[in-house]
Amino acid sequence: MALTPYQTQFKQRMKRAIKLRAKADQKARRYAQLLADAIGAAEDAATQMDALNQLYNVDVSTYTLLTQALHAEGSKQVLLGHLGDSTPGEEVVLFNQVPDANGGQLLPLNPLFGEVVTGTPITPPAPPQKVPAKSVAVSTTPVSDESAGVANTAEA
Amino acid sequence: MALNGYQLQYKRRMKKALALRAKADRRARILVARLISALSQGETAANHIARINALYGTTMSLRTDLVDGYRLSGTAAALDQIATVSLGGAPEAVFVNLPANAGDAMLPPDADLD
Repeated sequence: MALTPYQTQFKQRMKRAIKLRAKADQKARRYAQLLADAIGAAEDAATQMDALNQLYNVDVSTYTLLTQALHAEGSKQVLLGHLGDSTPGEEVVLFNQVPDANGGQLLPLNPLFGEVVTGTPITPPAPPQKVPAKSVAVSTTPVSDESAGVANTAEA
Repeated sequence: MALNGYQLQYKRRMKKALALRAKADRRARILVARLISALSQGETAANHIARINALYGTTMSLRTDLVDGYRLSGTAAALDQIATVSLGGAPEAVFVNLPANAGDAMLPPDADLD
């Protein structure tokens, strides 16, 4: 069964967003590992500085301000902890259940998903703020968005 | 006045250790920035997926386990704060006060320091 335009559009958009998610994961994974290594290197350097300070009776700071803060905050443990918790790579995306709605028609194009919007952009209509005429006269307190939404869906 | 063996050895060792310290600082500084930007990219992706979920009524997970873990730990904010308060680069090494003792003799060689 061929997919409707609506389904195809969903697939395209979701694929793109998933790719972005996977790319961010990949990058975060790589940089987190490297940063943990760099903090490790700073700790090694600090060990050497410490030994030198003792051997020669001098007092040179063992860390730089940045690496000292990273070391003291336990950043390495946090970084490696999450790396250990999660498995690498992209989650598998299954498209066997592509939603179908909107009569199979495309939703308006949206630059958020990297789509080129031609013509006048379609702005979604603001949810109607219907206030029952009777209650206006009785209560002066404004009807909250939530209850207004419930009332609208009940009427629709 | 020429430096004696002891002083030269100290200078050499300290220079090497300071270089290591500075190198680790540079690496950490670059990687902190990169990790923060990767995590913010993850948030962008999460926004997109959330929009798609809302538009199409699906329930795709917004973030991977890793990105979500760092988000919950507030890692990006913590790293950003650390990077902001620390000055750029390593403190300068000053060799004016070279210690001279132990009868000017060099200390025994050390695998780590030399």
